[in-house]
Amino acid sequence: MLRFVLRRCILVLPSLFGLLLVTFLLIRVVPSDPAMALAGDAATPEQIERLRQQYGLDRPIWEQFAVYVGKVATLDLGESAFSRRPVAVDIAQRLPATLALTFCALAISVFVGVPLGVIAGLTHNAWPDYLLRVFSVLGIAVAAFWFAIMLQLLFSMELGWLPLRGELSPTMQRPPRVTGFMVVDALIAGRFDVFTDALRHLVLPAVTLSLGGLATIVRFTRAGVLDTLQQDFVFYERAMGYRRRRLVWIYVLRNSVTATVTQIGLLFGGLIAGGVVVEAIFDWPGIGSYTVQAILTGDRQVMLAVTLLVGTVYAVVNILIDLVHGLLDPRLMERA
Amino acid sequence: MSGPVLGRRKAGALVAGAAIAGTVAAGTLRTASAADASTFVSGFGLPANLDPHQVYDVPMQAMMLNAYDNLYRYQNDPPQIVPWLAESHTVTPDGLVWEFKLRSGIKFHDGSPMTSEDVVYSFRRMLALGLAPAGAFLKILKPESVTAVDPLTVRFKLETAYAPFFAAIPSISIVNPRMIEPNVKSGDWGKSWLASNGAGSGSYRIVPAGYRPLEYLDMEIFDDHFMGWAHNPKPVRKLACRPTRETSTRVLALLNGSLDCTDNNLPADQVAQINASKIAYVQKDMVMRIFIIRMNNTKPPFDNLNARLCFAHAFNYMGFINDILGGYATRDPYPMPDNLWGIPKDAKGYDYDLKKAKEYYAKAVAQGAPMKRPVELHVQSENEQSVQGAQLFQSDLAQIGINMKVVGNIWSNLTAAAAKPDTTPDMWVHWVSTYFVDPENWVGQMYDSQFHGTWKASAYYKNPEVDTLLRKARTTIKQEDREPLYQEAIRKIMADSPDIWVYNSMQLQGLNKRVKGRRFCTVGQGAEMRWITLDG
Amino acid sequence: MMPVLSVRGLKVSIRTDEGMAEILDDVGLELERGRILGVVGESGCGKSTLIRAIMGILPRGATIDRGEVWFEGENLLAFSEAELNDQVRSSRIGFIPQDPLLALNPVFKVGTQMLEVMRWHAPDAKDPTGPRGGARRKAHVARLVGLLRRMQVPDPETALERYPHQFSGGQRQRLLIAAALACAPGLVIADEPTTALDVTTQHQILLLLRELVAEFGISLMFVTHDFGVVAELCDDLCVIYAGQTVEKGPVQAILEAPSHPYTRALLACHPDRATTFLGIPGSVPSPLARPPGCLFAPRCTDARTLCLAGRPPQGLAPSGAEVRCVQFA
Repeated sequence: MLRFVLRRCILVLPSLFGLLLVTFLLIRVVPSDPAMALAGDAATPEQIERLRQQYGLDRPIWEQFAVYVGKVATLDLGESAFSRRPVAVDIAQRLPATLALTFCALAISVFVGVPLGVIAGLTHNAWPDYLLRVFSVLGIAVAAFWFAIMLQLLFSMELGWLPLRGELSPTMQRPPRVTGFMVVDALIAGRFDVFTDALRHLVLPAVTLSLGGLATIVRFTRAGVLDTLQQDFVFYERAMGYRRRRLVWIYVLRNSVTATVTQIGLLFGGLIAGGVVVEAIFDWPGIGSYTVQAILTGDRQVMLAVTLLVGTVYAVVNILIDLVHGLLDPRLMERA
Repeated sequence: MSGPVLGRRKAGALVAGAAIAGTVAAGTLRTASAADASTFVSGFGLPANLDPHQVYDVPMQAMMLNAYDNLYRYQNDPPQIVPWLAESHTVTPDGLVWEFKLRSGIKFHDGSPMTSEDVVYSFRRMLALGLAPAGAFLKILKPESVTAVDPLTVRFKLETAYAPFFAAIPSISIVNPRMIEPNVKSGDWGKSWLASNGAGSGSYRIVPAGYRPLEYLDMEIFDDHFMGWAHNPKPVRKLACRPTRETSTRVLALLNGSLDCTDNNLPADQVAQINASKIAYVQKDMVMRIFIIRMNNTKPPFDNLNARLCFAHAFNYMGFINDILGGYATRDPYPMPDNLWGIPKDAKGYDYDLKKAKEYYAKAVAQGAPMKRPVELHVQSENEQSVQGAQLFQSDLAQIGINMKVVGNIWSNLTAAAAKPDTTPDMWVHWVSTYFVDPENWVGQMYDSQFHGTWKASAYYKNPEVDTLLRKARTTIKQEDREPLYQEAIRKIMADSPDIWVYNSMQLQGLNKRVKGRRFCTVGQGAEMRWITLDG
Repeated sequence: MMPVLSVRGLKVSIRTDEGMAEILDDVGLELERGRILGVVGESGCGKSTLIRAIMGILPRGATIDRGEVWFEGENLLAFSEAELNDQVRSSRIGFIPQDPLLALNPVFKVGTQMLEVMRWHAPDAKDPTGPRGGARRKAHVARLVGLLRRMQVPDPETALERYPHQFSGGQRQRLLIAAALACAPGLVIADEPTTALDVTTQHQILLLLRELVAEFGISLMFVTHDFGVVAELCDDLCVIYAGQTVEKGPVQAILEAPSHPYTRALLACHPDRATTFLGIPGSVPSPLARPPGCLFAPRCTDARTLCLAGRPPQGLAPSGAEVRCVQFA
């Protein structure tokens, strides 16, 4: 298994290099001028020219790429033209917020979606199945921002149960930064008020973000369960007197989630993309707004770094997904 | 420049729907869910970073008015430049040597006293970095020409006379070298450190680690501020800047009391709903921020005066202002805010008149201008209102036989494209905000041909007479002497009609009703917190 | 002596989109203690439904319209699903499925699956005085390893830690036989357990089963379509056609003198006996529209007018077999 992971990790490197190269070239198609972005709105042409030389933007593109790759290899992601802070610092500050949101959303999708999918599969063509099928179509069709605003109206405005936006109340004092994950740092600092507050802030964005994935997971789990129920071994297990609950939730489920797990890997990309909208609506201080800002301001270093980061996360997640597949189904591990 | 992910109109429609759903709850809306009486939660946008010598734009003005001080400062509405850290200044008749006298007893946030050396350090740092706020100074001021005469006197010796120098003085924040120096890395003037920290003397200080670009900024009161707090017995103790990105969230946060003020760009369609609430209202203020449709005067048919006049008469100014902007703007036919000195009030602008437009069209065609050529108008896609304005223009132009395409684009691409005449779009739209209160900020930098290559001068307009007038106005010191020069230049520019000047902005800001004492100035746009007190 | 298993007049229909399908029309059979009963019929004759009906696992939409299933003196049709699970499946009726590859859950270790069954159904599972928890599990493992050794599964100690796909077809079938015996049932139902195997393996498995019946004191109901297997293994025989028992009796007697035209036709088709490979002309009548009269009449070479008049009654053939044919009425 270790060899399997190692081999997958090594295979990822060329893809990331390719991703970087393509992004590096694509970004140059856009006419925005990084030196101008660096200099700011009120800059004179002389200021801009000076910056162009300073940052090597007057060098040939291959030289620029080589320099960039060399820097990336030492984890130097350059400097944001917008914030003029090291991109690595900006990303390190923001990534935990995005990851926390993404994983919470994923957890909701999985822990709610899988059981609902199983129920739909078990009640095939009866009313719970119909209801869940309508739900899963809606879940994909409903726009995230509409759903988000409805949640805000209900839970923040009408009921006043949950905060409208942000990751922490403005009156809360931030706990010292250790992991960057607000919820974890609050616990480390022993600040339970901050912990609860941060958790409350997570609910609405995570639920919003989970919606699309939830629907997908319900659909795929349902299909998987229906397929598994057709298998001979289910009849055999029933004939052998397996307890019904254990039969469904252990023996059938594990055979049914292969496609679902694959979907989770694909969903992860969607979650990061969907996070842009959700982070914007809920003013969540993650990677999303940073990326949008970078695109709007032509901040090349940030665009490159975020592409690389998302590519890496995606690759890591998919290695994990393969591992999970292997754990779920030993036949796959042997084949690989 | 940071745009909402949702279009304004879409978000607006949603909020309108939300309002209907919310009327049921109108009586039961919970108030002040996030803020207490000593914490002000601000929705102003945040600057790209916190270093006032690196960034200079509207969000930076709002930040630095609280965290930093300057020698002179704009106050009131209309803006007046008043002594601030400096209690007075002198200038030699040739306009070359300026001396500023500091007040005594000024303290930085670390408790150390401010001296003229610190002012010298600040200006030299600004010049050495050579970034946005240095634009007005780089050509006229050498670092070694800023000197400390005595502990309370700073002398500036300019290379050439430059009248806007004084108007630009408030754009430079005085920083504390004793806090910056320990954080300097390889001669970077502490650039990367100050980007995320504070080293000022302002009425509020930046809480360490209380900043994440674009997301949040925490500040707390500086009790020892040199202006004291006698003017405001119950000031805000903590300032939590929590910018909002989406209009809908912004309005909801204002309405549930978790936001004390929005930024200044509230869409007009939100006004009625907010004013109907018990908790908040919309403040309207005239600012100096003009909206222009640029024409690339180097590209046919825009190199033809009659063609340009044709376009200038084909835009439905009042229709745009009244129907799309909800009347929250004033028609400004000049290449400058109409509430600034230097405007020739006798000059008439152009009105929406398709008949005249057709006449100019015919004249242009007669002179061989390619009026049939399809032209492009580039807009910032994220700004719904300018997109709608462009579409309005498109339909009117179609009536007189001009084929114009509306192209969505983004700010950074547009400014980059505007660096050369051949990459500059046929037409594009943008605003020009107040960087400093002087005609130089608008007409001077927009129509003097020496600025070709900057986005402000992207009409690529060239008129030697205008160049002469503007350059003379720039080196003349007294405002009463400069005014006729600008008036004359503007008359000539308007006759040439190089661009289409549309409106001067009215800004809309949502405020919680507990916010009292706010004072507005177009520079900073009401973000100066030292005046503000919170009821309850 | 009372039979271990006795099915009487069983009729099962399934609701389909095209209407009610009468899968079983009138099935009857008896399995005496310690004996092996072969249930023979072509595919589609209702063998699987018969097994499902006995085990209480009918597909959705199926109803038992008539009949009784007596097992060790109790009517299984009166049992609830929970009662069947608690008191019958595995603990008293073991099951050997048709396809050993498809019947084992591919993603669980063999041991996990077999121990899951023993955990709930082994004789000591409900014994409050016996060992519990880990100790009980250990006892189960020991019993399983013993069984696997008896079944000649190689490396019985490590077999439990392996996954189904790591065994050959014959080995898997041995695992399943061990699983069927694990909880010491009195009756084992085997559903064509050798069909998916090659001839040599098939023969070995049949020998093994024959030995096990005596060794473990079980009764075996062996469902197959293959008369050769029946001849090799079984004591008694029950031939089913189109959901009806058409002939039943001792194997020896029936093989020597098959009485029902269907039995004769089936035997004639068997590769060991057939002179030409012909099969039976025609096909089994659709369960959606059973013809009146004898269900085999349309394919029967001896059919006469009387056959179409009504369902033929059971009669006794000279061989001693019970036959559903007008010839013996």
